[in-house]
Amino acid sequence: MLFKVEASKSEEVSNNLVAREFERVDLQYTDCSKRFYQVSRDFSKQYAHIYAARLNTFRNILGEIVRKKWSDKHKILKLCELREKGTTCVIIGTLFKHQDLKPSILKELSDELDIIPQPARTHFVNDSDTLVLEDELQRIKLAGDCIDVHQVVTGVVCALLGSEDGDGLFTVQDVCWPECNIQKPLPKIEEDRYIVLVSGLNMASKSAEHWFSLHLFLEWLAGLSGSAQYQEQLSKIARVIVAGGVFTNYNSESALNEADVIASAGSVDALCAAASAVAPLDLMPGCRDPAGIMLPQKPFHYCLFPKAVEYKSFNRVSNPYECDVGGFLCLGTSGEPIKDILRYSKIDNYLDAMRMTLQWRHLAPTCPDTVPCTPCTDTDPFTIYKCPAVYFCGNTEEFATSMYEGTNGQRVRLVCVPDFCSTKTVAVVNLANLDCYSMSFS
Amino acid sequence: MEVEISKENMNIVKEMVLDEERLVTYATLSKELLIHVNVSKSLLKAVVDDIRQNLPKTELSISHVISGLSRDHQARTTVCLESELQAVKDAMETVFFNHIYSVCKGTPKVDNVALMAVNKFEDFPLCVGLIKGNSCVKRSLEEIGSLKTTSHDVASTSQPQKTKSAPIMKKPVKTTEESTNVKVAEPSQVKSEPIIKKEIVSPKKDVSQTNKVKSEPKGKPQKGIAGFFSKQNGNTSKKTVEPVKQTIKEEIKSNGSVKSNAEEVVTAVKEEEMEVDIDIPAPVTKSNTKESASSSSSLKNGVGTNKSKPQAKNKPVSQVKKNAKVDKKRKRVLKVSDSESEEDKDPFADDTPTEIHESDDEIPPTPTINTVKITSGIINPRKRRKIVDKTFTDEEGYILTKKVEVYESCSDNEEEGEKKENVQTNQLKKEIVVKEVKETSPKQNKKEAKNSKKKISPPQKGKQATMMSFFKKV
Repeated sequence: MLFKVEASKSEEVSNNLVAREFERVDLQYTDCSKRFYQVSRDFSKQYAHIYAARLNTFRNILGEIVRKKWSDKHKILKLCELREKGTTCVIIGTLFKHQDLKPSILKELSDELDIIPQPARTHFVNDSDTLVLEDELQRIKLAGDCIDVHQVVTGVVCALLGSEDGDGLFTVQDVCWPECNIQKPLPKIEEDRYIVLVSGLNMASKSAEHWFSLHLFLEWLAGLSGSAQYQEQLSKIARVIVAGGVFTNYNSESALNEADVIASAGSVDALCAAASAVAPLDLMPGCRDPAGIMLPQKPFHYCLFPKAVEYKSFNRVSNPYECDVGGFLCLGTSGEPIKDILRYSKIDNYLDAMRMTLQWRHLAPTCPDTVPCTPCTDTDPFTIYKCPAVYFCGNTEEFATSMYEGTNGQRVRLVCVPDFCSTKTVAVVNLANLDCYSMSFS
Repeated sequence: MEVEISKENMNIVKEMVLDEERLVTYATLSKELLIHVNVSKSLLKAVVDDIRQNLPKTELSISHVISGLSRDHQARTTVCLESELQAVKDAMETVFFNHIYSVCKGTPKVDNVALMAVNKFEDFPLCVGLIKGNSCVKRSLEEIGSLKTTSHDVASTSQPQKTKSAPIMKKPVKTTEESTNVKVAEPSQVKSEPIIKKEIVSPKKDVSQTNKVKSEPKGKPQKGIAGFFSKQNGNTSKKTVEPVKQTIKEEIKSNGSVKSNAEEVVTAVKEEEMEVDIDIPAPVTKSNTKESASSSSSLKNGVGTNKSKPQAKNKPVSQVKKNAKVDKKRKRVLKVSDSESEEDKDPFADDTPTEIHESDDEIPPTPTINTVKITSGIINPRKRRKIVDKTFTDEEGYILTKKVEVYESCSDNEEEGEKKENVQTNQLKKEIVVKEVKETSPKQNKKEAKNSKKKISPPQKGKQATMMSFFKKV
C-alpha cells in the first residue's frame, strides 16, 4: 500500500486511526563489505599494483567469456606476443584514455607560467581523445569503430578482437566486456519488504531548509504519521541505507568546514540514534564527510556517534558498501565513481554510467586514475564479484531508477539515490518485486 | 472517530492550545500524554472540532500532513495549512493518508522551524506507537566497550607498542636488580679474586659476570635506560671481542672453571659473550700487572699511579652519586677496582682518558713500563688512535697505545711471569691501594671524570677496536 494506487481505498478506511502496535519486519542481514574494510592501506606502495591485480582478475574472468563469445578460433595473446601483422587475435588489457583536457598538475603549473587562464571545466571530454590498451608490459594504440572512445573510461579491462597493423595500430573488430557475473537466484518473497535509500543529508550545511523534511522523513520512517493501515505498510521497511553525504553533500561548493562539522556532529548523532531506534540503519561516508577521502572509505569513527552507537541496529559501514538483506545483494557507492565516469566520458546520465559499470563488472574503473583510492596491492576491491540485486549510487541530482537486464538473465535494480538536501527525496525499493519508488518530504 | 478520547486529555489539550497558547503537534501530544500517536491524532481532531463548535470565534492555525501520489506519479508527503489542504489534495491522484499535524492558536504563521523546535530528533523515541525492529535494541555497556576496543585495534597498532614500552620500563629495573645481585655477589668474588689472580682466572670471573649482566640487556630489546648501558656494553664487547681471539685460549679454560664457579653466569651465554669475557681478563691481567708493578716498583711513580688509579676508581663513585643509572655500573666498577682494575677499564676507559692525557705527558719522561701500563689500561678508549701512531714509532708509545688490545698479548706474557711472582702480595697491596684511593681522591677526580665523560665517545672506542683488530690480524 505504500505506493500502490490500487491499495488506496476509500478515504475513511485510509484514515483509520486505530491505535495499533506494529513491529518492524526483520530480514536477515549480512555485511558483505569485508573486502572494503580489509583493504591493505600501505601507502608506501604505488598504484601500479592495483592495475596489475585488476588485470589479473579480469584475465581469468575474460578468458572464459572470450571462449564462449569467439570460440577458440583466435589465440589470446599478450601484447608482447603480437608479432605477426595482420593476424586476427584476441588481446586482453586495461583501457587507457588519452585526454588532452584531463587535469594535470604539471600542466597547470606550466600554464601558470605562461599565464594562460584555463577555463574551469566540469567535463574533460574532447574529440581528440584516443584509446590505448595496456597490459603488464606494453601498450598499443587502438583504432576502429567498434569501440567508442567516449563511451569508455580509463581503467576498464576488456578483451579485443582484431589485428595489428604495420604501423603499430591495433584495429579492433569486436569488443568483449566482462559483463555482470551470474546472479544468485533471488529469493521469492510473498510480502512486500522495503529498503529505504537516502543520501546527501548535508547536516553540516548552514541552510536548514531540509531539516523539516528530515523530521517528516523520520516521522514517516518511525511510523508516527499515517493511518493504521499505512503504518502497517511502513513496518515493512526493513532497512535504511544512507549512501554518503551525511555531514556535507557532494554539491556544496565550499569545502568542509571543520567547525560546522563539529557543531553538527551532535544533531547527526541524534538523527542516527532516532533512526536506528526504529529501523536498522547503515551509514556510509561520502567523499566530503569526516572520513578518509580515499576509496574504499572506512566507516565513520564511532566517537562521532556517542548516542547512536548504543543501538545494535546502527551500522557504520564502508563506501562502497555491499550487504545481503534477506538474500538480496545490495551494492552501491556514495556516487564518486559514477560522477567521475560522467566527467571523463560522454555518458550523460547516472543510470547509463551505472549500467556501464555493471557491464565492465567494476564499481570504479577510474580508480585510482581520477578518483582517490588507497594503493591496494593484492586485489582490486572494486571488482563486482557477485551480481547485486540492488545497485545504488548516492548523491545524484535527481531520483532515477531502472532495471538492468543482463545477458544471463540477471535482474539488477539500479537506483540513483537523490541528494536529500536539494530534492528532499528518498528512494524506496521493494525487494519483493524489485520495484523502486521515490518519496519526497516537503 | 472510533478511538475513545478521554475528556481529561481533551481538557489538557484545550488548556495547552487555548490557555498556554502552545503549538501542539500529534507527536508532542503523544510524548507528553503517553498516548499512541494515532490516539493523539484523533484527540487533536476532536479538540479542534470541539473548539470550533464551542468557541467559533477562536482563530486556530491548523496544519495537516498529507501523503499521496501526485499526478506525475511522484509520491509526496507534505505538511500544509488547512486552507491549502484541498488544493494539495486535488493535486494528488491518490491520497495515502491525511491527518492533523499541529494545532496552534492564532494566525497561521507557524513555520517549519517552530515545528522542528517542538519535536527534536531526541524526542522521537519517546513517542508511543513507534514501529521498532527486533534489532533496534541498545547495546550493553560491555558491548560498547568491546566496540571501542575493537576499533582501537583496527585503528592503531600503536597500543601494542605502548604495552611493549611498559615492559621495557620494567626491564631496566630487572637489570638494576641483576646489577645489584652482581654487586652482592661481588664481595664473594672479591674474596675469590686473590685466588683467581694467582690463576689469573679471578678477573675473568668478575668480568664474565659483569659482562654477562651487561650483555643481557643486549639480548633483550634495548630500553630507554638500558639503551645507555647497552651502548657501553656494545662498545666493550667490541673491544673485548677483538683481543679475545689472540690471547684467550688459556683464559678460556679458566673461564670454564669460572663459569662453573659462578652461579650467576647464564648457561645460554653466547660464544661472543665468552669471547668478551676472555677479552676483559686480558686487560685485567694487565692492570694487575700494572698495579703490582706500580705498587712494587717505584715510589716516584707510585704516587702518580696511585692517584691515577684512585681517580679512575673514584670517578665512578662520583658518577654514582650523580646518576643512579650510572651508579649501578660504576658500582660494579668500584667493586672491580676493589678486586682489580679490569672492569674499570671498560666503563672507566671513559673516565681515564683525561688521566691518560696527563699520563701521556708524564709517561714519555718516565720510561717505566709499569706506569704506562697502568694509565693505558685505564685510558685505552680515548687515545688509542692518537697514541697508536706513537706506539708504532716508540716501544713505549706502542705499549701505551695498545693498552687494551695489544697489551693483552703483552700483558699475558708479562702476567705469566709476574703472576707467579707477585700474585698474593700484589692482591693485598692492590686492595689497600684501592681503599686509599677511594678515601683520598673523589673530589679532585670529579671534574676530571666529567671531562673524561665528555671526551669519551663510544665511536672512538669502536674505531679503535677496529684498528686494533686490524693490526692484530696483521
